[in-house]
Amino acid sequence: MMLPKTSLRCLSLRQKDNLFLVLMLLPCVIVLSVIVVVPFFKLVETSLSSWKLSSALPKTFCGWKNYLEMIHDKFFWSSLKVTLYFVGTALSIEFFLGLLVAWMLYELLKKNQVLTTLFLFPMVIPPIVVALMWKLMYSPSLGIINYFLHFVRLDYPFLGDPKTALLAMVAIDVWEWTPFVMLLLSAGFATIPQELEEASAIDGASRWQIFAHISLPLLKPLIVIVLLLRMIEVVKVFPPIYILTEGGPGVHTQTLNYLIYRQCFNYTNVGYASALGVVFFFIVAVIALLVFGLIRKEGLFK
Amino acid sequence: MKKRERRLRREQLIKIVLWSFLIFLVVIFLFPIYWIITLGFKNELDVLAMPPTWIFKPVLDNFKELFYTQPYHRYILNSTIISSTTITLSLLLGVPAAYSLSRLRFRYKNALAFWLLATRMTPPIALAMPFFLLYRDLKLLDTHIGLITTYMTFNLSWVVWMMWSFFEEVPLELEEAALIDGSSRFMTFLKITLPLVAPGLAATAVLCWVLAWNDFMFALILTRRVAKTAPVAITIFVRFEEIRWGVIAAGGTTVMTPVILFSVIVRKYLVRGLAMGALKG
Repeated sequence: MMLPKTSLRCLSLRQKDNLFLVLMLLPCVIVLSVIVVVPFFKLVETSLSSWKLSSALPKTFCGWKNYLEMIHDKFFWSSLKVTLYFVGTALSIEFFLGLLVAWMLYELLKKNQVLTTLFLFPMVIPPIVVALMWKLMYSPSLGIINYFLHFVRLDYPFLGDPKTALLAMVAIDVWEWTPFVMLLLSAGFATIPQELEEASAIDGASRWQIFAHISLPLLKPLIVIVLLLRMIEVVKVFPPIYILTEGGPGVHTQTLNYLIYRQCFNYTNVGYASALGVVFFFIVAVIALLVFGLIRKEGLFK
Repeated sequence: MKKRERRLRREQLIKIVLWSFLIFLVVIFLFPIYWIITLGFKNELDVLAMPPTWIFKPVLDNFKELFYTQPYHRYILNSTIISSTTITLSLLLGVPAAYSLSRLRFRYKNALAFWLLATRMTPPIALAMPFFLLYRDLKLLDTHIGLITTYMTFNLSWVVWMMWSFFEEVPLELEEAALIDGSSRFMTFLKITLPLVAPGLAATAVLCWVLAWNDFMFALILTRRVAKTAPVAITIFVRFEEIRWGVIAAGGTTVMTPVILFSVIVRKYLVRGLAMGALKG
């Protein structure tokens, strides 16, 4: 007689508990749904309509027209090219430099509180301050960069030349975000079991062999995640382009992100810009899906 | 014996080379920040001096101009109100939700997790455009509440994602003991679990605050005058006929000081926060 009664009470307690947990979750899910899903539908709806804010013509439904227009828009293709180039260069430099510094820090001092803190600064200060700072430093007449380069006869109006403008943007990103790669990888190095390396050192493995055959393979999943996270952030870069080049010279630094901003807020082509926005959203969502899959697979986050 | 000595010397040489390279890099990475801070304290002549003046008498002219010619204190106040409201709301809604996600079992948990991550990573421009159009109709452009709502999209999703990973690390046994002793779920959460994740909570709050404080694009698009934030306000001085570099530097220094202070305080957990949970504690 006792047993069923207790289990019943347990069950109802369990249910009550679950109900309470659901109640803790619901407000957040509802709020987030509203503030994310509503704008997203607005974006998709706008992308299917012909709408220019500055014209007197009313907004009209036009189906896939905006998406078809994209195929013939040479600025769209050039912006994709610029974005790819930006991502490719920035990521490779950030990766190699970040890995090198992380490894050096690990070899020189296993614990590195002070240095780690110093390396935090470039990435936490407001991106707009970073952009303004570099605008000043790149300035041909006042810039400290050309002042230093002048001594080795390398001073040059970097932002004015189509060949170097994008690289100048990459340099800013490298300055701002190599510390991110470095800090994450050095946290990764710290997780490698000390015994593994000691054992290989005793077996006569050189520093380089330990690095290439033990540390690197163990860090591979983390490296991939870090690079994907960087990729997502690089495609969204805005302040430096807005402040330093506005996409110029010509369209040589006009990334997809900046093209959308321009189409929407300079040319008021809201419909077309929204279609570009939808495409951009899906590109980023695919990368995010890869990140998610990896984080789950590696069991780094349950 | 000799061989060993030579090897030791080689080791030392390698160390010296590595150290000098490391110090060189630290200098490169910190120089721009040093440069902009000192520029803010230079007088008008020194700001434009070329070759640059390295030693100078610090003056507050630029800060005075920043606060006298523009209602810059208003913009800082706006930034403060908007970012603190954003983190308060995000934590109030997000922390219980994250706890619940770590304890509940249901079918679409994975889908929900991915949705959170995707929301956090959505390109700001893809949200800024529809928000701009919606706010135009709702008369929410250039309001605090409008900007706060927008910031909640990426901050709330991020708080839930981050705190979820911290709650997962709290052993269930601790809670079960309290629950069996008759403590209610809510009290257990408040008294047992929350204190255990306190450092993670602090880091999440700080990073969340930094995300809102640092934002430029949303504030640029969604505000004009009344709700303008400090980062956007600095760019006013770029539009002047002759760019006011000293004042910009002063503004930049003002905006980045709190961020630097906060990130130093929670530096240990900051890296993990930036890694979106790809690192375990």
